[in-house]
Amino acid sequence: MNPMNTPTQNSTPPPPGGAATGVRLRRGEDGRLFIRKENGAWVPVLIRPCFPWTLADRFLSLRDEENNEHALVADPQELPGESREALLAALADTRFTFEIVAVDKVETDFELRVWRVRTAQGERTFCTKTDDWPDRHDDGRVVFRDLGGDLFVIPDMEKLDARSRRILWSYVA
Amino acid sequence: MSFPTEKNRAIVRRYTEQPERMPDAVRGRIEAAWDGEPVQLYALADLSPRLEIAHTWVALGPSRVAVAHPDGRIDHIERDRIRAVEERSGLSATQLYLVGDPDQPALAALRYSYRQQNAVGAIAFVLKQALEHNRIDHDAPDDFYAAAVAQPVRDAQGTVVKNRLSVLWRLVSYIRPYKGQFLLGVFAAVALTVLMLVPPTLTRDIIDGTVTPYTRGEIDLDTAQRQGWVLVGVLVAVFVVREFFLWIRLRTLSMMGEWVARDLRRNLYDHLHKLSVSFFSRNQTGSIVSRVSSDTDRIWDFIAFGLAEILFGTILIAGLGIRLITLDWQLGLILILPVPLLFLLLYWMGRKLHRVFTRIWQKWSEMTATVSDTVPGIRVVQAFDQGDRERERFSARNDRVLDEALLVHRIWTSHWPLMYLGLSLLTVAVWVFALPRMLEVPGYSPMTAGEFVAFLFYMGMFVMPLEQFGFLTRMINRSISSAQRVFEILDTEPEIREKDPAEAVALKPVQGHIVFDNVTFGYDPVRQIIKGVSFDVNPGEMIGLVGPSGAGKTTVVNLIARFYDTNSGRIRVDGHDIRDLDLGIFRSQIGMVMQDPYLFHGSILENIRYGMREATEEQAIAAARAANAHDFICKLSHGYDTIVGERGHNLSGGERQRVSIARAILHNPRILILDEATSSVDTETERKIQEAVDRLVAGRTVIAIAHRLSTLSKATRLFVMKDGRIVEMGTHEELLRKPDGLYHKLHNAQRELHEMYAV
Repeated sequence: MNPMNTPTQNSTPPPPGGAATGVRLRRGEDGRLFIRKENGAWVPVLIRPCFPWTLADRFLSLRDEENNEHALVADPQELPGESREALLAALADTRFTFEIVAVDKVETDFELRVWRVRTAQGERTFCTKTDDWPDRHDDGRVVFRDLGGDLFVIPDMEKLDARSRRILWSYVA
Repeated sequence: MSFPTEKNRAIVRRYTEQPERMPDAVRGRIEAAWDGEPVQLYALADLSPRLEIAHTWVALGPSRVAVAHPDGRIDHIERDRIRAVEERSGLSATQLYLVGDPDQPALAALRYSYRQQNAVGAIAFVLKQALEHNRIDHDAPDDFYAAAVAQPVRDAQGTVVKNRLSVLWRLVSYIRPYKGQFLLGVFAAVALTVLMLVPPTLTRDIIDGTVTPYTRGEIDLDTAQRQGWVLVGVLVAVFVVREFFLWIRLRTLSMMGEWVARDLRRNLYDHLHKLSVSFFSRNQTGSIVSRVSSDTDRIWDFIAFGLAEILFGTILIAGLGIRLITLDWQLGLILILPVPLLFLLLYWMGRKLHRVFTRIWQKWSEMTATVSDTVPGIRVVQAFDQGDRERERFSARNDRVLDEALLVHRIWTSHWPLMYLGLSLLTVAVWVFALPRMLEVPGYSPMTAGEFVAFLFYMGMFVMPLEQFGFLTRMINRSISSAQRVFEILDTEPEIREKDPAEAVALKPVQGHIVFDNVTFGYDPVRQIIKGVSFDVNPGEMIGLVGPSGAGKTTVVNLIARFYDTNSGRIRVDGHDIRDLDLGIFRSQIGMVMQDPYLFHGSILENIRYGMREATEEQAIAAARAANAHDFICKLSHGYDTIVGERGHNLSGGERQRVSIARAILHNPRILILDEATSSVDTETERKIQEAVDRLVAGRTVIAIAHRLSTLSKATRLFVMKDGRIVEMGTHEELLRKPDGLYHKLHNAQRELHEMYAV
C-alpha cells in the first residue's frame, strides 16, 4: 500500500513510510462520505483532489467542515474494497462538470458570449466574457468556465458532430 | 441590491434560460402547508442526485424549509430539527446537506451548479446563523432570487439593453446640443454625394455635345472650344464645390465628435466620483480606464466618420441607381440587379473573416498574456534561469498567431479578386450590351460614346460604397459595444444616496462623538458582516479595533467614513444620523492612514498638500517633520519636489507611509482612521511611524485597527471583534484580566511569537 494513504490530522504532514491501514470510509444514504476515526466514530468528510485535472483519481485529501485533513489518499485502488467504492462514488460528485455533447448556437451580446449547448446532463445556456477563452488541456479536453464558475468540458472535439465543430472552430483555436 | 428586479429577471431570462422565479403553484402549495407562513428565501437546486439537470426548489420560511422535487413531491423540514448545515463544493457542483441527527441520513441533500451558489448559499448562511442563534429574516424572496442568479452576468455586463438600435439612438441623443453643427455636416455629406454624380454626366456632355459633333463636322472649332472650355470650367467648379463640402463635412463632424466624446468622458468621470466604493471593488481598474479612454475614442470615430459614411454610402448607392436607370435603363438594370448578390457576397465574406478574426483574437490574447505574465516577473524568470523556457513558450504562441494571420490573408486575398472579377464581368456584360448599340447595329437602340463613358464612370463609383459597408458594419458594431460599456457606468446608481444639500446637516467642525446603534451590515442583504454592533466613542478618544482577520474591523471604519450604508441600525455623529450629514463636509473632516498608502503621481509636496491645497510650504514642512518624513525628504536630491512616480513607487513602503501621515496631519481631520498603518515595515521604520502616529492622534477621535497589539498602547479603549460582533470592550489592563477572553489569547499568542523570534 502506498505510504501516502495515511490518516493525518490538522494538515500535519504524514509520517514518512507510516502505516496506511487506518483509512476506512463509507458513504451514507444521503451521499455523504464518512471516515472512521481511531476512536471508531465516523466523521463526515469532503474530498479535495490535489490535482483535479492532471491526476484526478489520485492524491485525494479528505477534509472535514473546518478544513482539517483527516487523510491523504494517494491511490484509491490501494484502499480496501468498500472504502474504495465509497471514495470513488463520492469522487464523482466532487469532480462533476457539465459535459458538452453538442453546440447549438453561440451568440455575442455586449461583452458576453452566450452558448447554447446540449450536455450529457441536459440542455444548458451559459455565458462567458467575450475575451475569456476556453482552456485546451494537453489530453485534448477543452474546458469552458462560465461567468458563474461552472465548468463545461468537451472531452474530445473530434467526437462532436460536424455542425458543433464548425461552430466551435472560431472559439477553440 | 439597488439593481431593479425587472432587469435582473431579464438577465435570468435571456442569459440563463432558467425560471425567473419560483412557480406560483409550488410556492402556493408550500405556503399552504406552512399554514400561511411566508417563503422568505428560495433557490433552485438544478442538479438531481444522479447529477442531471433538474429543477428542485428549496424554500426557507420562518420555521420550516421545503424541498419541492421535480416529480411534484414536497418535503417539509422543521428548522428546529436542523443541527448542522454542510456544504461540499466540487469542480462545478455543490452539495448542501441539512443534517438533523448525526447518526441518521441528512434531512435534505441538494445538488446544484455554481450558478445557483448565491441563492442556495444564502439559505445555507441563514440556517447556519440560526444555529448560532442569529436570526435573519428576509421578505423579498423573488427579488433576492433574481438578483442572486443574475449577479455574475450583471457584474460582467451591467445593463441589459433591448437592442443595438436603442444604444445607437441614445448615442445620437448626445449630438442634440450640437444640432446645428450636425445638420451642417449632414447637409455637406449629402451635397458632396450628389456632386459626385455630376462629373460623369459633364464628361458625357463634353464627349457627346462637343467632341463628337466637332469630329463629325457638325460644329466648327471655335464653337467646340467655347463649349468645351465652358464645360471644363463647370467641371472645375463642381470639383471645387465638392471638395469644399468635403472640407465642411470633415471639419464639422470630426469636431462635433470630439465635443461629444469630451461630454461623454466628463459625464463618465463625474459619475465615477459619485459611485460607491463597492462599484470599484466589483470592477477592474483597467476596464474602467478603457471605458473613459478607448471606448470614448471609438465613439468619436463613429460620430466623426461612421455616421457620415453611412449617409454617404446610402445616398451614393441610391443616387447611382437612379442615375444609371435614367441614363440607360437597360444597362442600368444589368448593373443594379446583381447588387443584392454583391452585398450577400460581402456579408458572407465578412462572416467568414469574423470567424477567423475570432481565432486570431484568441491566439493574440494567449501571446500577449505570456508577455504580461513574464515581464512583471522577470526577476523570478532570471533568478530561476527560465529565460529559454519563456522564450520558447512565447515563440510557440507567436507562431500560432502567425498561422491564424496567414489563414486570414489566404481568405481575403482570394476573396477580393473574386469580388473584383465579378465586377469586371459586369463591365464586360455592359460592353457586350453596349457595343452593338454604339455601333448602331440594326435592331439595337443607339447609344452615344459619351453616355457609355459616363456609364463606365458610374460603374467605377459603385465599388466604393460596397467596400465601405463592410468596413462600416464592423465600425458600428464596435462603436455600439463601446457606447454600451460607457452607458453601463452612467446607468449605475450610486449606492450611497446623498441628502439634498438644502436639507443636509453641514456638520463643521465635527466633535467626533460616534455612536453605533445596533448596526447590521452585509455586502448583500443576507450575508451579514457586521451583526448588531453598538458602541459609543467620545470625542478625543482613541479606540483600538482588534480581532482576527474577517472579524469586520475594516467594515466598521468603512461605515464610519460612510463608504457604505447600514442595512439596519443607525450610526450617529455628534448626535446626527450619518445619512443626514452633508457627505462632502463630513468627509473633509475625516483622515485615513491605510496599510498600503496611496500616493498620486506628482511631487511629494503635492501629495502632502492633497487634502489642503492652500497650505503653505512652512505648514507642509511642519507636517512632514511631525510625520518623521522631513529628514528622508531632505536627503532626496529633489527634496519636496521629488516626483514620487505612479502610486509612489519611487519611495519605500515606510517612506510612503510617512508621507501619507504628513498628508493626514496637514489635513487636520477631526476623526482619524488608522488601518494597519504600521504593518509590513521594519522595526526602525515602525518606530518612526509610531512616533508620527502618536503626534497625529493627539486631540482627535481616532479609530485604529492593528494586528500588532503593541501599537495600540495609547488607545483609551479596545474593542475586540469576532465574526462581525464586538465580543469584548475595555482598556488593555481590563481585557488582560479576563483569562478566557479573546484579547487575552491574542495578546499571549503575540507575546510568545515575539519571544520566539526575538531570541
